Amino acid sequence: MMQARVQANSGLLPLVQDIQKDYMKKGLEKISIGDTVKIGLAVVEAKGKTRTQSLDGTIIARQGAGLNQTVTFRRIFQGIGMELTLPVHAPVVQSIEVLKHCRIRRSKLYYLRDRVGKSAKLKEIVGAAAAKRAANATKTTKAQAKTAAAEPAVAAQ
Amino acid sequence: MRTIARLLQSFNNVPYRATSSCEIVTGRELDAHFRFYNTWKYPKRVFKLPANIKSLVMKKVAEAPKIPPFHPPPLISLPMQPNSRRVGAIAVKAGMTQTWDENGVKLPLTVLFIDDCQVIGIKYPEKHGYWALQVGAGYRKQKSISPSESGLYLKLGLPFKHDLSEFRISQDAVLPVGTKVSAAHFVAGQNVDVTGYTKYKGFQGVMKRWGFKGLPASHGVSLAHRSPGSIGNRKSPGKVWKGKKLPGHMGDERRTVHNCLLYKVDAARNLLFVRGQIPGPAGEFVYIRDAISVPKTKKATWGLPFPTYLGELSNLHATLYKSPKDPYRPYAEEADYFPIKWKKGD
Repeated sequence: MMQARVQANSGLLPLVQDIQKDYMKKGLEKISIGDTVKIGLAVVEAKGKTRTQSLDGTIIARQGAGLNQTVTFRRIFQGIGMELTLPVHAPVVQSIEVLKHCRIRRSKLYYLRDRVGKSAKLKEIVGAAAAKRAANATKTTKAQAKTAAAEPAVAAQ
Repeated sequence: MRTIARLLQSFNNVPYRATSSCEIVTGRELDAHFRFYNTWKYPKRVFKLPANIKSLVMKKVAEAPKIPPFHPPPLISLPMQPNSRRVGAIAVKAGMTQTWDENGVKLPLTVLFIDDCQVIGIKYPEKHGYWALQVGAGYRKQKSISPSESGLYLKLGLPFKHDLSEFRISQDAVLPVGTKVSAAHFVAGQNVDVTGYTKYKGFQGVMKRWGFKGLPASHGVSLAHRSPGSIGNRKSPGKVWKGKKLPGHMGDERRTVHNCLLYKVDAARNLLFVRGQIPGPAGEFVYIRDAISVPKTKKATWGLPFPTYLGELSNLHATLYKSPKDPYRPYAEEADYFPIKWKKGD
């Protein structure tokens, strides 16, 4: 009695990647290294209530891919530099809002740890370059257009 | 080849029989035998009994009490007793992911995929000495299975399975042949024992295999930085003890991880999400059973379907385990205060 494989039409790795998509946050803004961002962290108070605490700082590193992506977030608090390595898709990170993009020539900005004050400032992208970047950000890639077209069809089903 | 057959015959003075019915094996049959098994393996010997002894033997066989075949009772939901033991399942380790639960705690998850797990056979005390269920999972093509194994599946009317395993059960947990053991057999929040064969490491040295510290990297050590050093004494005992830790084959051993938390059960897709790591690489079969070393009172709270889940799978939603307490919640006097009653005289 010949029966085809019942459940698995794809391999195991695509299955795990498909499962990971369910746990990832949708509609995340594109974050680059060197961006000044405002992160909203979930903070649990004494009565058990959760409120959001906003922190300003720069993204100095990014690691991992997909669900495992983490960003290292640096800020100066009362004269002391602090770094926070946060998984992007964790529920503790409630919002990431990009304030400005900066021009950088590396993927990890660890040199900022030795710099204080003006020398630690990153050059912001302005003018024509900024406009071009904004236009690129709104343009969707082929894959994104495909999934966007597939979503209403799935919702209709 | 003919000389070899004659040599074999003369060596033991006993006729050999290969795949055909004739007694003396020819060179062509030996060739065919060699090609099928791909190894130089002697064909199975068939001894012919003398006629007078054979008649006695056949009489005894006919008179011997026959073990009746076992017919399982009809499949209905039964209440689970404290000493009941259910069947397990064979799953494929698909990979690992992570998630965060409702309190924000990060959980590493292993994804297990139960690929068409069915009961193949039943073992009962009259014939085998104990109660067990033989379970098969996966799929193979008929041509890649030996004829004897594929004949078994054709006789039972089941698809050809890739992996087989046996699970010890109690008598009330018997399932008829062909019953599917799906992901809904397990409940989110229960503890399971997961058995697998560890990752193959090959021939490994003593530092990786046994955790030896080796020798210093400098200070005159020559060509022995990762070696075991001394492996014995001197005249007494004058030998190396058996079981001495030395380099050798590592990995591909059967290991069980006990009391894994089953975080999520997605029965519609036949997926189980186990918290933590389990032995073996992705793509290999693992064997899942209910945890044994769990108090019976705790086991009763899980609400396990007994003997298995009998119902529609497509309607089921994924179920999650809810942790009883939020580990990130700060101490709150009104909720975490335990009043102590002082007795007279304290």
